[in-house]
Amino acid sequence: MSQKSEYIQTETGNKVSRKSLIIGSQNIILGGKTIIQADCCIRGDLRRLVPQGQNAAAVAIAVGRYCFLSKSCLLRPPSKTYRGQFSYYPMKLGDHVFVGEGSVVEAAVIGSYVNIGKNCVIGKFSIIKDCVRIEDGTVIAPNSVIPSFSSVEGHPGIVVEELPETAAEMLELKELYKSI
Amino acid sequence: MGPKRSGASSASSAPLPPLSIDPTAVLSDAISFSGTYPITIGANSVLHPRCKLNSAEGPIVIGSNCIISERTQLIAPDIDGLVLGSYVHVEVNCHIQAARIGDATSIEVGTKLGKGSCIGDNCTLSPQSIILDVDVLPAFTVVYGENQRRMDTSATAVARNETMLAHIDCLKKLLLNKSEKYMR
Amino acid sequence: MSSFPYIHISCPCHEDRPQTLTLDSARPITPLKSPSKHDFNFPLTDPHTPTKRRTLLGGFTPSVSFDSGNINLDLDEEEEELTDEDDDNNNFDPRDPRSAFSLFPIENLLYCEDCHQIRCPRCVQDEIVCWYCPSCLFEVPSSTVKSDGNRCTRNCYLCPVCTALLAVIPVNHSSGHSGTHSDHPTGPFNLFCSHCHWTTSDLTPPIQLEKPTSISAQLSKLTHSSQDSEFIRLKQHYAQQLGNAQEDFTNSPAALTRLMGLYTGLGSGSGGHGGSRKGRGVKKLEMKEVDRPREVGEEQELEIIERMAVEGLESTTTSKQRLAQPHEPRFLSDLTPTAVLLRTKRSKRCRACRHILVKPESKVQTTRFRIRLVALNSIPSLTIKRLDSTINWNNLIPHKTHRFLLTVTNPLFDPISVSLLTPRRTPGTAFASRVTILCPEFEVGASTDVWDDALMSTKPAASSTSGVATPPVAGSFTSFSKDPKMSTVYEQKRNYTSVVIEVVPPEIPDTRETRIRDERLLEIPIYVRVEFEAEVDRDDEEGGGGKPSHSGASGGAVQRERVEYSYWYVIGVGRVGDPVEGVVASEPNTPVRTPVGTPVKAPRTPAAMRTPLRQVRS
Repeated sequence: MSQKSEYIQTETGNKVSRKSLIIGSQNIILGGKTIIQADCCIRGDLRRLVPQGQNAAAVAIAVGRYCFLSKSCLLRPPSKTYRGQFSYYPMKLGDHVFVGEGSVVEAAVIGSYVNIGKNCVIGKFSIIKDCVRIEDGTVIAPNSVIPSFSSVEGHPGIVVEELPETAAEMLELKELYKSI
Repeated sequence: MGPKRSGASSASSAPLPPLSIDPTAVLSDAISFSGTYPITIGANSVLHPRCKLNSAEGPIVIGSNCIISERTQLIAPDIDGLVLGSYVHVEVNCHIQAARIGDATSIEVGTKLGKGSCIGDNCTLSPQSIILDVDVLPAFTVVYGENQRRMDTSATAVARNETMLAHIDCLKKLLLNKSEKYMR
Repeated sequence: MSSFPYIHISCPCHEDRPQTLTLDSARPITPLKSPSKHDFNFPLTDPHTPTKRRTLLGGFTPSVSFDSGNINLDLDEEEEELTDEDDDNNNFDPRDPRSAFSLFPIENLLYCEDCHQIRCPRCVQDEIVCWYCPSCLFEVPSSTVKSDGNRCTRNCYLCPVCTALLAVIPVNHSSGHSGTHSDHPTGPFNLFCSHCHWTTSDLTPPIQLEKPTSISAQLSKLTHSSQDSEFIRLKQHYAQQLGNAQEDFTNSPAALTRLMGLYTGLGSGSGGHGGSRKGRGVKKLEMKEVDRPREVGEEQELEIIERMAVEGLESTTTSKQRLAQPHEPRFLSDLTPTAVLLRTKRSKRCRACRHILVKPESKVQTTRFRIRLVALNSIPSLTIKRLDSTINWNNLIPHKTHRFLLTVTNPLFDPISVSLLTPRRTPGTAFASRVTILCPEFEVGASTDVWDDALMSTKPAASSTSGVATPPVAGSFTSFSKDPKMSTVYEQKRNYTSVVIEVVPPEIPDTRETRIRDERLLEIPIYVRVEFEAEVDRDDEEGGGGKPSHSGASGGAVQRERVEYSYWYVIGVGRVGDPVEGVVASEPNTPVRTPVGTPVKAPRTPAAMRTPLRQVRS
């Protein structure tokens, strides 16, 4: 019962720990049935700066369905100078994305069925395609692209193994959602 | 404001260490200050929410145009304190007990700087680097991969500092400045 | 084998006679050869095809015992039939070096519906569907791969120092960052590694690019070693010699013959064997050796040593860096950016019957498959959990009875009967652990729709057979439903059943340092036998496979056939730790269900067998 009371459930089935830190929630979209554990931090305040005049309600972080953000992980939109203008850029996570404990994610796009292990660092503007497993402690260099069906490991991370055709089933998180 | 000030700014109700914050610095909400030695924050520096500064063992000095990200801990190692130069960028989840960090040095995610270590100017520490206690890193050192080192000859220092300034400008627009809250 | 527990399945292809395997698996066992009297009984041996049985089975341990109170009725008969077999050669030992090649997690296995056999990565044949760059995700036509090699010919380069992706940045930085003006920075450009800050300026001589695109073309001109130019010179020379520069060496059989002629010393003008070649219709070839062939790259070792003395060891490359480069440079300043290696999308064929098992969609960025026959959808998967959360997978306590929950999940649309067999003592080691499966025979419900699942979930958690979503078809498997031991099934839900498995590890000296084998590793081989009845499509008798069509059910007489298969699963339970005081050797708390001293031999069933039945229900 104590487990239940830890989470606030939203209308779309998201379960957000009371101990998580969500900054700039107006810039964050959760797709539903996503779990956010304690001490997890989401920086929705680091949104894209639009040129003067416009005041578009930019989405800083979009998270799909059945994602699982483990304890003390951090989602932070990436930033860079583009055409002389420094800005943060939106980050998008697909469905069934697992982010392990203590991992820091500054990717541009993460596809669906992606498992990020513990204590990983996903560098700025990296793109992770569908069906990818990132092993514990991996550091993905900025601007990297990780293709589908890859298992990545190392400092900086390189593809060490090809995942089998069943990767989507292996990385699905529906059961995990039910268990919380 | 009065009674709220000390309680809200740090997790504990203990009194804040003596703070000297430049008026142009930006301090976010929920920064934890602890210890008794003075903490100085230079001009135009930005502190993200939930970073922790501990001056129990010595003073902390942060230079101008620095960025200290969330969940990073700055801990003064001894009575001589922790001195950060200017244009220092400390990313998230770092654990810093260094004695000195030189100008224009980037410390990336999850780096651990051992007690009393000394980082030179224009260094780059890639994510999850580990610097041992009292280790000295000469200027322009890059720590990459599994703590390998090489010299940075890329001549990107000027561009980097320009980007830092643009980054700080950007953060000033995005972050709520709560620095008065920490003022005495 | 990094983390416990793991469950692997032994692919039968590891058998020592692959040719027989190929033959057998290509042609499913015909009903004629299977003795019909065994239809409802456990052993299914075929006296007519002893070799076939041997090769198809994963092999058996002579000491396999059936740890159940319900000894099979056909025990005597079975023993009779098996006595002539040479049991010793049929041990399945998960530690056997040969086994290591055949054990795969179920996720990595495919299933050939024509052979009714699992297929591991070793017994499928890959065929390339397309080539693509894993970085820019552009498809590379196979003609380009042939002409330009298997690396990205666009702008994707890796840092030679740390393997991160290189970015193009202008050398004169301030122009790009000074705010309002100059959207498009002007050259020259560098390739820059944002991880370790290596740039192409670190090369001797430094390399700077004129424009930020078509980097391959620019780089190939700039990073030209003496070896490369000599190779090109030789290639040009011999291409000219061939007289037909357009002719592709590899594609034309005539060119290949000529090439072979070069190697056998017939090429350079010696007319001795010319006649015979003419006789075979190959044009006579006059080859001239290249003028002044130069030996390049064999730099003076002394020079290298001197350079090392001057520049220091810090300026030398690591073995990883060296091996990733052509010509294996010794100094960091000689490392050049490495173009990204291409990746492939591949379809997979069964080696035995040539049917396609996997066919991905050819578009690079999609992860869908046109055909995907994976074992996960065809054979039951096992999972193991701790019943007692204090069990440490990496430190099992000797002499203590560890209870685990073994769950069998059925992916099929038909309910299955499962028999689990395991040697009472783990084989292949002097330090055997005692293993007892409390309920080795049970049923697993069909993998019905989620819809049905919702309906069933209103019922309380089933503790007996009655709770199975789809009860077994009347008349079949009666021996199982009558079995009182069914009550020892721990949990039974829609399409999975859990039973308790008890493991008592022995005291094992720590031999990690001294021996090659890790004696403390506890792996339990379990022979899983599955029986079920499948409906058969009359038009396509073989097409039934694991997914029989349900549409025929309304049409009155439905032909059903009995399918059974069996595989060796290996459960990596954990590692045995040091003995704990107070836990001493004793018999396990639960009574051993098989009387000691009456080992029951496992049956020798072909791994897959299909027996048509008379129609059993309308």
